[in-house]
Amino acid sequence: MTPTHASEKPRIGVFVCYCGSNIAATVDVEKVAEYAATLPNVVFTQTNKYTCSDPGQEEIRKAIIEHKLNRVVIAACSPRMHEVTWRRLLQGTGLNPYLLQVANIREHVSWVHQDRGEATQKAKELVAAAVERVPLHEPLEPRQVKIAPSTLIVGGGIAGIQAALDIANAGYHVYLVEKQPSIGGNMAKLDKTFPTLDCAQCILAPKMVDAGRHENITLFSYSEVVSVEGHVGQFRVRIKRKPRYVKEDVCTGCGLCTQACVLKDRIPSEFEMGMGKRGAAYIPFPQAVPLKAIIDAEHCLLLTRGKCSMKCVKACGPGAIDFKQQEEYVEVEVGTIILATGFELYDMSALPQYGYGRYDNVLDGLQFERLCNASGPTEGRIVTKDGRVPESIAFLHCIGSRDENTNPYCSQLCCMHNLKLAHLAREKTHAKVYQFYIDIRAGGKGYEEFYKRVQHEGIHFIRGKGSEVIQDGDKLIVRAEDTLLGKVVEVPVDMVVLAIGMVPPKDIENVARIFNINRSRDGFFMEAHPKLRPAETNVEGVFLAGACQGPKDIPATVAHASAAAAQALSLMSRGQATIEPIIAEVIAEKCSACGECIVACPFKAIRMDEEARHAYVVSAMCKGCGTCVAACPSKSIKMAHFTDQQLIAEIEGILGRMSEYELA
Amino acid sequence: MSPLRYAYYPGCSLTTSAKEYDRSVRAVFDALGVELLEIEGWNCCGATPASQNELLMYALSGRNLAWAEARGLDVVAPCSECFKNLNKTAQAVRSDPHLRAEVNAVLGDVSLTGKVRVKHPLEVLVRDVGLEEIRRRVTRPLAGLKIAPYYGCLITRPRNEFDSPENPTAMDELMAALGAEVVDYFPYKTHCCGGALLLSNKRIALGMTRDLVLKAQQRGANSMALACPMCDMMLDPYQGPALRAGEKPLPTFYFTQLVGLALGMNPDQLGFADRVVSPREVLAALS
Repeated sequence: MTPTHASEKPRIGVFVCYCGSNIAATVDVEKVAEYAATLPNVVFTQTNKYTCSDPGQEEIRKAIIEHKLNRVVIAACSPRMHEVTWRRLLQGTGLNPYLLQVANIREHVSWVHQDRGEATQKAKELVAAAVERVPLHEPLEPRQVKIAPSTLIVGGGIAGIQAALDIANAGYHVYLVEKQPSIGGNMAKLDKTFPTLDCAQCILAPKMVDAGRHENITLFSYSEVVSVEGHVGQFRVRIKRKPRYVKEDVCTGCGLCTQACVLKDRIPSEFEMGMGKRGAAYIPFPQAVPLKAIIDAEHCLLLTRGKCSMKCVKACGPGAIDFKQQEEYVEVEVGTIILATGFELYDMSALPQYGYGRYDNVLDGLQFERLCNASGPTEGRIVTKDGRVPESIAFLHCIGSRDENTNPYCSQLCCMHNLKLAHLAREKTHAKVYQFYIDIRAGGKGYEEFYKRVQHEGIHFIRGKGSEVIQDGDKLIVRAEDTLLGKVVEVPVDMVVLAIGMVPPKDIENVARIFNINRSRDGFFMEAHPKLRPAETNVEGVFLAGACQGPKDIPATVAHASAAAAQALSLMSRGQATIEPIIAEVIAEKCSACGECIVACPFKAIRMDEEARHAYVVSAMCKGCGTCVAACPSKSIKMAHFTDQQLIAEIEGILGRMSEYELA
Repeated sequence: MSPLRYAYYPGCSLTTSAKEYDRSVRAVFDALGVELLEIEGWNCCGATPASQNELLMYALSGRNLAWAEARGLDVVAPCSECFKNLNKTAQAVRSDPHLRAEVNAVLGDVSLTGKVRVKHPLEVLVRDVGLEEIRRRVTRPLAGLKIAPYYGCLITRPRNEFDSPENPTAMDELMAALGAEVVDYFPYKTHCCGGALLLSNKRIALGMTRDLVLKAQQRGANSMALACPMCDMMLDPYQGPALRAGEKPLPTFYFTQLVGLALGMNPDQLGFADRVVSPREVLAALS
């Protein structure tokens, strides 16, 4: 236990920072320090060139010991920057770290004001506020929670697979939940990958197999998370296992049932993006993991009409088909969670002018991938719906991206994706290939070089976004304004491929609600910090991997997923997490159990003790936002480190000085 | 339900080149029990000065809107250009307080909040009166008419809730409710008629008009429904010059003329005599 001097008479030290010239150029730092020395309870003042540096910290440490300081005020940058640094410093001297108050005279003063006199005055006021407040600080003790050595990963695309393998290989257990019958996600549908042109399936399939077989990974395919309770270290997760109508432990993946199904080749295949057909009993694709058949309850004649010759049952040697299967629920407890729920393509119903879904030979990029793929519906032959080899193909960029009417953001990978598809088209056909683009974004390792290479493959680049596609007999006419020529062009082609923008999956709102995390303006999950904490969320212990946080190509997704795995691992390897003591606390005797706070809490951290008739805060879930304090009608919630008295003292510190200033 | 009432803004075209549009709108609305109060002392919607001075355009439109707003009425504007300008002004004044203050400063003794809504008669018929009601009132179904519904570029702009700007369908639905056969005229239904180029580049303008006529005929249309005096200018009087020798003209109508016809009104009352491309043959097919 750290000894404190809290009960003694306050002895405050005030340290005013120059921050090089960041503060000193606008604020007269020496004047602020002189002024601080005149304030009540202040026994020591000092200015420092850089308060956060080692020598700066050493000065404070010495002063605390020499002058027996029991409260510290530091006037410097935003507390978001270095409060933690200085708390650690206080702790090192034996002072409770929460007996510190930081006055922000950089972001709130020197960086936003020009007039030196006024800026200095404002800095003085903020210091006075801190000096008034800090005597009321109470020593607080952070709490520790145990972290269970296991991770839930939601989504089994390349992001989820990568994170799962990283964590499982480190010796921690992973529950990998995928809502589709197989893991693999969108990457499994690709033919080749830019810029190296590796075969996507060849680099992905081994990872899928590893994930499926790993002793530390429990795979729940065709399953969804329905609820999460608890907090970092101890999340209780409820998982719904949808019925496959095939016993996973019995099915050998031989595929005889898929051959026998009376609806064979009658239902558009999701994996083939509707370009190929499957039966009601099917295996999503040859490399599926788990390699198990599934019966599609929406189409199966027995399940929809109660009548079928059930050839699948007769075909299945081991007797794996079980039409009596029901939904099952599984509960697991995990210490950390990684969301890797990926993306979908923009819903084209709002952009009818491109004829997507209307004209046979207007495809999206993933459909074109399936045409190129040797295991796809045409065995890798690029042909139109009626079997013609196209003489010309147009690739249209930025459909549902960079457009105020749809999505303002750039989907980031479509330029490269379109270039790669153009390359494949030239490799496999003699078609004339056109690229209709706004500008080509090829920022990435080896990307610009690939762009150059494709330029030399005889592809026509037309700088202008395709505005519409019109069917005219056998031809599709692409209209665009060629902004280099300054005129409208109409190019007849046999096939149009649209680079449709990436958007969050339709159920993202529900997922965000289950895991209690925020979304950014573009609809994707929001990271804790756009630069420095890209894989963390606002919920401790919940991390983000891949395109669920924003559009990403494969290299970026894999890097992000490994980052999320590393974050989860670092928590789990420590075995425990520190929980901030700046949280709300319900004063049970005053609480009338009205429940207003429970409604107000954005983190679902407040519960009702029905027997004792009062609310209580689940400390590990509380973020210390203070919303409940404002909502409580009977003032029976106390916010540690932000008590009413502390805030009033701070305000009085400012207002008191202001009146002096105005009188002078 | 209380009777529908709107402030009516005819605009300059409907008093000159598009008189039959004006007549048919008034006749159809009257027959359907929709009251139109013509805005007293209405002035230009701002179409002509719009390119020179935006505030002038907003103020001109705003003066008309203020009359309606003061009476708690929404505005009906049949001309697409007027509709677009009035609608744009209402939306802009509603959402931009600075612009609202500027416009009101120009207007002086009247003022505008932007609360007023501007509707095209197509929206009133399809949404406010309702297709069900119209279907019920049809006494002369337009069987035999194969109509290409042509919307032009302006009636779904600025973007609003009423219909898709890329593939509007309200007129398709309305024509079907009248018993006509509607041909799929996407995507030409919103393509440019060429009207904006008529003075500056007649050759291109007529080419665009010809394209619309031929495409409609290729899709099996024997007539076309219009909703804009400018489109009408191109597709009726200028259709002849646009077509080449041997090409068959396509009779075109204001959509309100067709509604009136289906409601059993006398064609004379609806201004059919003003059509340049003779509709006689195609209308003869109607019983």
